[in-house]
Amino acid sequence: MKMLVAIRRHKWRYVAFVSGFLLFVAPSALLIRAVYHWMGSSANTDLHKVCFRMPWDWIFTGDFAIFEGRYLMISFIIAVLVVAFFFGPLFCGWLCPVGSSSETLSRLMPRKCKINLSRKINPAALRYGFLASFVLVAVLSTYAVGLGLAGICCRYCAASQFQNIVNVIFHPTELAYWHSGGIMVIGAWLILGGIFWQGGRGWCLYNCPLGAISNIFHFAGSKLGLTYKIKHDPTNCTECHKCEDVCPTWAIKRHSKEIDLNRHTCNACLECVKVCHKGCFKYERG
Amino acid sequence: MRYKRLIYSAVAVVIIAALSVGAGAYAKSTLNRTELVHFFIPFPAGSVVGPMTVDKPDGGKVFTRPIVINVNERGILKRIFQPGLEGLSTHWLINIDSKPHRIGMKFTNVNVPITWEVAGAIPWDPQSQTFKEAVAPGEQIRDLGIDWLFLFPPEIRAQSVWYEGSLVIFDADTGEELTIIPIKFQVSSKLGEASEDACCYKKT
Repeated sequence: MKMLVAIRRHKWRYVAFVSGFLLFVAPSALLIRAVYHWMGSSANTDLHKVCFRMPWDWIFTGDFAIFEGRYLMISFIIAVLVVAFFFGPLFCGWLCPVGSSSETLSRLMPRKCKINLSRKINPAALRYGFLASFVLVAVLSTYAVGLGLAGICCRYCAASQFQNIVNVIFHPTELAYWHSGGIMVIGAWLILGGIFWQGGRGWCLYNCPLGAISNIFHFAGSKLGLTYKIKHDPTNCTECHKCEDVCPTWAIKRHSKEIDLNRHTCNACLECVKVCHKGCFKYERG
Repeated sequence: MRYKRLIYSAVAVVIIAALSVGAGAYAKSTLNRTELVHFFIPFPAGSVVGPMTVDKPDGGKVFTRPIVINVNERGILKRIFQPGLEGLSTHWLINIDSKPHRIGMKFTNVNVPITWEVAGAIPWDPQSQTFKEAVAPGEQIRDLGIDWLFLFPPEIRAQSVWYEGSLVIFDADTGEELTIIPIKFQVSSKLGEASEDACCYKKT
């Protein structure tokens, strides 16, 4: 019931969720299919081809040569970051199939059953703590081999598991391989970070390097007057706290009428704009 | 209140870092050695009887070795939820010769069903198990993803060796065998000897 209310309140965002699925996830993967068709490649067209994790692993381990010829992946990353700088992390908030699925799932669970640490911790600590750890592990696994570490890029990838789940749904007779890392990811992404996480964006906060870097770009861009961002005017605020409740990334923290709007986790989903009947939130330049 | 929040946030960072490092250690010690192992396939490399490094025409090097998977070294979640399906994978079929080869692949001594999932920039013919175009000298097939899934029934899983054979890379035009990589799935307490270069698309 609450899910229907949420969909009705912000229906274009859910239309975007479906579009994101159709654009990036096989069997449709329309965007990837179109690019590969144009390139004349017969390679697999699935979510894996616009990987959210591998490019960061390559960059932080100095593996730049591997980017040669990977035009789709490079263009995708650049586009996500440029948009994040000027308009906010719209890919994360509107199109990402991984985040949108866990967020949608979380709406099935009553609020009292979900983890909500938004008042206890700064969610940016989760986000950048993971990013720093991701970089650290990538560097150590490459330059300090004796430590016995491997990169945590591919073995713990929610996008791979998402594609695997969709493959099973569309081709139930085919074999699907589940490795231990993948099973752990499903637990951390869909169960802990999804169903049982207030807002359903746990994975985005504690395990997505692209999300973290997008928010660095958004934070930097938000300092300029020409970029779009969520803005808050407390004049008409009735302290109903709905904005705080609907924010999927715990980016809003209230102190009576004033709020802290955390640009390090805000994904420009505009849920706060839609839920506030007093018009306290606006998405605009300035 | 603010001070408390800072402390909790710092604790969260420490926990995230510990989990990430732990995940990296687990991937290195277990997942990369035993679950959907990824390995490099240079050709022609002859019979790969042990770990070896071969030269590429451009001066680079490619590492390869026989693949031995100790199935009881797999992660506990794999052993609980899907013990009968094992897999191997590659993104790297690399022509180290000075002439182009149009290649095919086959397994020897097959005793269980093996599913092939092959896709890359060069079209694949599943009937003849050959690629339709040649790989240029020093080049590899771009955007390649190959998964071989071995379905081991319970009667095979009761044995000490589940599969012992080899992956043969051959020239599809002449039939010449270019590379033979021994493959073995076994129940053993010894540490696996599979390739550890298991991250997708790692540079050769």
